[in-house]
Amino acid sequence: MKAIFAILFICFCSTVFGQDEKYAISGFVRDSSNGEDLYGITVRVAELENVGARTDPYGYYVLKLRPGTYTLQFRGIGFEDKEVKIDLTSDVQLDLELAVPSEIQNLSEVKVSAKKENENITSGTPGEIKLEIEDIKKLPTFGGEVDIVEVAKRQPGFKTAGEGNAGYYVRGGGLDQNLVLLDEAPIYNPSHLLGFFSVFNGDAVKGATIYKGGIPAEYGGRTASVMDIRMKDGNAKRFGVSGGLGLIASRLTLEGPIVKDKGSFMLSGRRTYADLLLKLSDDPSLNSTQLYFYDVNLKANYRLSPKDKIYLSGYIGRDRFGFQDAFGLNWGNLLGTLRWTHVFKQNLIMQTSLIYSDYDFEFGFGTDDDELSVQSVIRDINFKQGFALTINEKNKLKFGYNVIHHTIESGNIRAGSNTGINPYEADPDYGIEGALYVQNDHQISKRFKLNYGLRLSTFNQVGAGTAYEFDESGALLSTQEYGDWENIQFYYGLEPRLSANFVIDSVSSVKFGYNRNYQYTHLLSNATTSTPTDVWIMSSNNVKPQIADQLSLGYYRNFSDNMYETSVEIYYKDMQNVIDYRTGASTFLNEELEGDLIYGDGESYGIEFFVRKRKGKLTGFAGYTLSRSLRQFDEINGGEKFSARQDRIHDFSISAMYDITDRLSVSANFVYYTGDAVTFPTGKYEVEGMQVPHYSERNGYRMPDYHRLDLALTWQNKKKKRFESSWNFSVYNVYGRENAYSISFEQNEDNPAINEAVQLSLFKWVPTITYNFKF
Amino acid sequence: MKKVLSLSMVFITSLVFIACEKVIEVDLEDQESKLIIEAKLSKLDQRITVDISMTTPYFAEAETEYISNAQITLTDQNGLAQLIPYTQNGHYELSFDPSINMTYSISVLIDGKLYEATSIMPGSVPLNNLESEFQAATPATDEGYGVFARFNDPADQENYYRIIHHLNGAIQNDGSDLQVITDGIGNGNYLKLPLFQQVFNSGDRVFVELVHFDEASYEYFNSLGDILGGQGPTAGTAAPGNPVTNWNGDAGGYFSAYTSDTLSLIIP
Repeated sequence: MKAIFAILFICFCSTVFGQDEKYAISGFVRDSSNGEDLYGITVRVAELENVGARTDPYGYYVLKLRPGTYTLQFRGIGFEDKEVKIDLTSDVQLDLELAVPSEIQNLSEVKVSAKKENENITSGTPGEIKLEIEDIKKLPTFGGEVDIVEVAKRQPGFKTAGEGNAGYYVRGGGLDQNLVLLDEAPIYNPSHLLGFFSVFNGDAVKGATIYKGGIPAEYGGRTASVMDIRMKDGNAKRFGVSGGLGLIASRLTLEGPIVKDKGSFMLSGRRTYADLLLKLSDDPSLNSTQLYFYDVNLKANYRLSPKDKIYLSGYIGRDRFGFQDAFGLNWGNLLGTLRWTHVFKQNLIMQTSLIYSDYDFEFGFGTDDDELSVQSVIRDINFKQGFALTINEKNKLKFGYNVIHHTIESGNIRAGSNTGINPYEADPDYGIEGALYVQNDHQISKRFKLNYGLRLSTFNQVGAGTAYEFDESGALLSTQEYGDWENIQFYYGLEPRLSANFVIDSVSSVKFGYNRNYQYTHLLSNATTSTPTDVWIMSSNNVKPQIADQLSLGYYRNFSDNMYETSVEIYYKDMQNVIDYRTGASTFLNEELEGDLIYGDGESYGIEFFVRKRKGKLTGFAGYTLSRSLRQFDEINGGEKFSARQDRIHDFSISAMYDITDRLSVSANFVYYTGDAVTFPTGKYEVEGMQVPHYSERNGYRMPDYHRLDLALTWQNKKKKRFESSWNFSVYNVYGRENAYSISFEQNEDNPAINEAVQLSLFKWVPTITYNFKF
Repeated sequence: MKKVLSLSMVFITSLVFIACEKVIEVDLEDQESKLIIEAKLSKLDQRITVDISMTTPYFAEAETEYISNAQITLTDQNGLAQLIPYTQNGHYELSFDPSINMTYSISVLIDGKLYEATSIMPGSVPLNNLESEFQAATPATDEGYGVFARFNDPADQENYYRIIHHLNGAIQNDGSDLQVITDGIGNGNYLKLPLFQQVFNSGDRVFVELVHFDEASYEYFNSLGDILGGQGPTAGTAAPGNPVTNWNGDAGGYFSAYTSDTLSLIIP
């Protein structure tokens, strides 16, 4: 650890000294067809080797060069290259637009910028994945919804939490250890319909940057991964409408300029209609059922001046399920981000964001005097300021801070007078999470690049509230009351981050990453699958922050003129203060829940193989992961290490698309993984005539292996003027594999003396048809 | 409430997606048998009963192995000790009238190994009334009558209850019938507790026993309920395990002292 700090210090110092007179070239790069900011466009200087820049998520780039004449080359996948000659005698702002080549618009073979597409070799940290929604639109879907999270879950190192579950595990970490951001706002429950769909509407999303390792210092708060999802900006050139009609849900998106080339907006909505179909049923138990979700995404941006731009992003989504007045479940997220980008000098840019995130859940039954319902809320208000300073062409510094105020209310009870139950307002829990970070992207030599940084994170559990003290067995010892804003518990953590890239030649490189992350909010899940009732808690006098250290090393090699990208990565992760339950603990309406928690350690390690083909009629990717994820708790299995639920040893997935003609394409997904580690009973006995299963070890057994094939066919109708449309046919689980959703152990109904294991499978095969349009 | 929630989850899942169930082969390792001691001291029955057996392999149709050579002593907080004699099939029994608010300790000596537990006999809580109400069908239940137990919860202490019911003379003791509750959300009130997920028809004779016991007994039955009702996709418990026992020593089961009150109702 000390050595790492020493290295960081040396690196920072070396960046500050030895600068000559230089001028900055900076500006925004946009898509000429719709004015969207382009992220990840590389800017190279033809005359200088290894000097270049990349546009940030807001399309901004900056270079610092000595006076002279240069040729700047702008390149991005899916765009025509552009070269600009410049005679540099002072600071200049150079905004430009890149065009989509005409062949792409005709949907023929993509052969753009095929000369030097080795970005995966020369840049990035180990464990960084970029997904663009356009690349995944033709893949098979479940229920017709293009879902970026579903595709992310098929990358090596990612493991789905199971069928019908929006959650995922990254490199052996827990479900709650993934930071999911939509335009900077964290989402606490990114799922609809109990997890069968994610909250990310494929029409509203532009793409995602994902880190499973080497997480940069600007991100924090979760220990395993970051999924940074960006919404579309909206077309700044002209008004457009797009949408889709599916069997389960339909979507509509409007976009257009607010003032041409100065600002644009995008408004996208989606709703399911299973409940409308149920209304047609004669069965009163079905036609009185409410069952739907909807979500609305809004994004707007406006350029106030050449140096100032503001963005507004919003999301609202709700799930409702109910039956008459008898019972109901109702949950949703509400997010908002207001962001101001300001260019001070050409090499100093400031981003200021005010972010709001709210997740609430309610369930109950009865109305009026018979009503009994429970509400839970988690709410964040986050202020964030970040600076990007280009010191010279070799050093790009980022620094900033953020402060988050967390509120968690779990278990407010509304009760009518007939119920005999007292209405109850749960004591909200409050916390303040702070962070200060600095990181530098440092091109040390022609071949060697380092990104190093340090993040200081802090957490205050504050009043008003009650702190509980428990003994070792979880029995309550004492309680203490605290006043408003009074400090109950303070934690802090220093989180060094480092990633290194050594380019061997133009087609191969070696990357190394280390990161330490602290996490102060934790998800407690009552059941084996994620349900909306899962409880988020904050660190407190009882609950220490979770800490993870990860080392990763990867070798990257491209073949056949960068047509094939391949990589092998190994990683080792050490986790501290992992949380689990005492046997029989309940998260439901349990004020002294913390007494039912136990704390242990975890470790995970693995090797990941990845192949991707980006060009040609056949495109796609395949990954294989061999990994373990283990836990150790003094209270479980006699203190021995045991498999975490997600300890799937083998995990394989392949996704491929093939363009048969200009208008017809087919695609396929196949996944295979080792079954989850689970606890099965080994013995039985009777209590009061009831048979009780007896368990002897945690997670000592395996679910059956999971595998599934999905197929899809996309037919593009002939373009009429500006109107484009397509049909997508998908079949989920083509060969009808009965994958185990759960296995329960029960007595045979006819002969209670015989016990049997009963497997529940959700779907044999699910066909879907979707019609998409755009004009 | 927890169970209603679980049930609605099952319902949503099955409503939206066609689920299918089948019996599969699962290979379970044979583990060492474990001792289970179930000891109950009832104020109403004026009797203590103790049942001792060993666990059997889960899929085996083997006969239960009973323990007949245990030496069992019940001692009250004043040091008065009584031996509990063996009858048959692992069953031990002694009739006597236990005292309210008395702490009882039990010790079980088997082959030189000692197992101990304590439990406090609580005061009695009378069951005031049983009420029935007609309820329309829901996706989770058929139409019929719901039955509610009405009683005054003592306000001066935390109370733990269990509700046992019989239908037309037969005790209902499936995992789903196991119902325990604390007064945490309705302390001191005239409580109205439904027999959860139970629907009765006209003419049904319902007999309800309201058991009042201590926290350790509640913890045992609450975790037992989670385990019995908690398998599969809507598990009520975070991780399957064994119920929380109050025995010192490596044994499962519980020792519980309890008072109870009973009432009957014929659905109109």
